[in-house]
This record gives sequence, structure tokens and C-alpha cells, in this order.
Amino acid sequence: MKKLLAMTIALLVIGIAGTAVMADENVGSQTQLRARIHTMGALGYGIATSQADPMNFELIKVGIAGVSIKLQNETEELMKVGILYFGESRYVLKDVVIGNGTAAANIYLNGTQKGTISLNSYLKGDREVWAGTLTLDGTAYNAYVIQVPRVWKPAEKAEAVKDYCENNPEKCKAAIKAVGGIICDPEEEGVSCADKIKTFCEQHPDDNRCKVVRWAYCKLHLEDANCRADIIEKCKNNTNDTACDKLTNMYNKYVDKKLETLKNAPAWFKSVRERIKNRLPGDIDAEDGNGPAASGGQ
Amino acid sequence: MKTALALIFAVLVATVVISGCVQQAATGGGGQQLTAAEKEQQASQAVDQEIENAIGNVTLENLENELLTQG
Repeated sequence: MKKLLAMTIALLVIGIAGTAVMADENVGSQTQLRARIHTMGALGYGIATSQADPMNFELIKVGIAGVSIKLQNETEELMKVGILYFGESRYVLKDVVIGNGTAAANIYLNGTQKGTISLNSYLKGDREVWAGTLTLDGTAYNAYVIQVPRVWKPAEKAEAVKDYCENNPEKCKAAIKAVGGIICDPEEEGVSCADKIKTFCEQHPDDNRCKVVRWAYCKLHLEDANCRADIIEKCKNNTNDTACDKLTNMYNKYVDKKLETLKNAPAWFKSVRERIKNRLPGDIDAEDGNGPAASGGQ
Repeated sequence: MKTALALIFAVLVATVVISGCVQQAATGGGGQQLTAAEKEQQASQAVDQEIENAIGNVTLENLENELLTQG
């Protein structure tokens, strides 16, 4: 009888322990949610000054991005969101629109709309800065934000490569072939070639083939601050790349309206701007087959 | 003897039932879906984390230094 009792207790303990482990595993799997920055629109800090009263100003921090959300086997979903710190107050940005050098959103606090924000970027020295307007609780502000550098994570870089290869399979293949052996052949593989390339590039972000495809992606995605930062770095040393022309065209929209901003623009920008001015219309389209229209939007 | 065996059997059945219930509760009733609001919250948190990582605590002095550096 004692043996049976001992066995019962042992089974009970094993059962409870097993249940606890299974429950823990399930809770763990439930949190296998992946939120990853897909497109970084604006990220920086600066100041907002009241348009009516210069003594009314506040430090601000802002982040506006496209974020990809994936929960286990669910399909990946892209959401555009943002956060604004106005002094110590934290606001959520909704109805976000990220364009080429532009970012706009409505400002919310606890589900209630409190205002709007609209920013345009341009170059000041070697840095990208944002200027625009912000309304909050009925007060209109001018907002100035300095874009901060960020580390473009390998997983995000790989996502960009996948994005390009999915949408431009032939160009992706040609770009990879031009600098090395092919990673996979879409015609021969049963699985997604873009996924295979993504996995490879996540593990080898500095591989020339991954870099070249990422560069091709960036030429088409000037709305991404990571791409703009890469292009700016390259243009400092080589202004002949068509990406420099595209980025200059983007910033020119603002500079053309405010020529005085050209004074603080970097040398490479002034040089490319001059070259574009002397070029016949349509030349940039012919160079790489991607007109200005192809470089816009999400 | 029979009573003891019945007891062991009952304990095992109870363990399996409890295990199933706990699993069900942990997975939110079998489905693992997030609402749009929850997804938006997760996405916002990712951006918040970026702000924290890239900017952290910023002061007027930081801003002044940046502006002076840029001329």
C-alpha cells in the first residue's frame, strides 16, 4: 500500500512538472513575435518652437518608420508607425505617410488625436536635418530635427535584399552574377530564391553580392533613411553614381524653394546639383532604366 | 488494491486534463492571433526602442553642440 502511495505521489509530481514545462513552452512560443524596422523614415531629435511665441519651445525626439510584424506562421504585415516625445510627454503617431524626404502623421495620446506633424528633410553639412510644422493641443510649432545615424542591422539589410529580389528577379540575378557566383537560380530552385538570398545575406551582410543588391534596392527606396545614409556616404567619394543624382533631385525640391539652404550643403551635393542643371532632361532615366517615378514611394 | 489502482488512474486522468487546460489558456484558446491594436503597439515599441538606442536622453546642450558643429 505504501509503495502504491509513493508511486501515486511520484506520478502526480511528474505530471505537474510536465504540465508546467508545457505551459512554459507555450507561453514562450506565444511571444515569438517579431517586430523589425523595414523602412526608417525619420529618426532624430531637435526642437519645436511656437510660431506665435518664441519663448514657448520644447525638446522633441521623433521616430517614424515602417515596421514589419510577424507572429510565428502568420503572414508578415507592414505597419507604418511613429513615436513623438514632446518634452517628457510621449505621443503615438498614426496615419503615417513616409515619402522621399518627407514624413507626416497625426499625433495621438491615449487614442485621442492631439495634433499633426509634417517634416521635410534636407542636407546641412554632412547631416540630414528635418524641418516642418507640428500642431499640438491647438498650438502651432515649427519643428527642427537632426537625423541621427543608426546601425542598419544585418536582418534588415537582408530584408531589403529580399524585397528587391522578389520584385526584380531578373535584375537581382544579373546584379549578383556581375560581382560573383549566383546564390541561387530562380529557374532551378523549387523554393523561393529571394528567401534563399535573404538567408545568405543575413549571414553574410558584407558579401559583395549582397551589397550590390542592397545598393540597387536603395536606389529605388530613397524614403528609407538607411538608404539615404548609405548613398550620402558613397557620394562623398564618388559623385558619378546615379544614386547621387537621384538623392540630389530629392533634396533639390526643397533647396530650389530656399536657395539659401545651399550655403550649408555638402560639396558633393553642390557638385551633383550643378551637373544635373547642365544635363538634358531624361538623361538620368536612360542611365539605369529607373526614372524618378520608380524611385518614389513605398 | 483496486482502490489504489483507481486512484492512480484518476490522478493520471486529472493530470492530462489539467495539462490540456493550461495549454489552452497559454495559447489564448487555441489561436495565436494579435489584434490590429496589439500589432500597432508592438510596432510602436520597436520604434520606441530605436529612439532609445539611437538617441537616449537628449538635452539642450546636446542639441546646441550639434547645431554648432553643423555651423
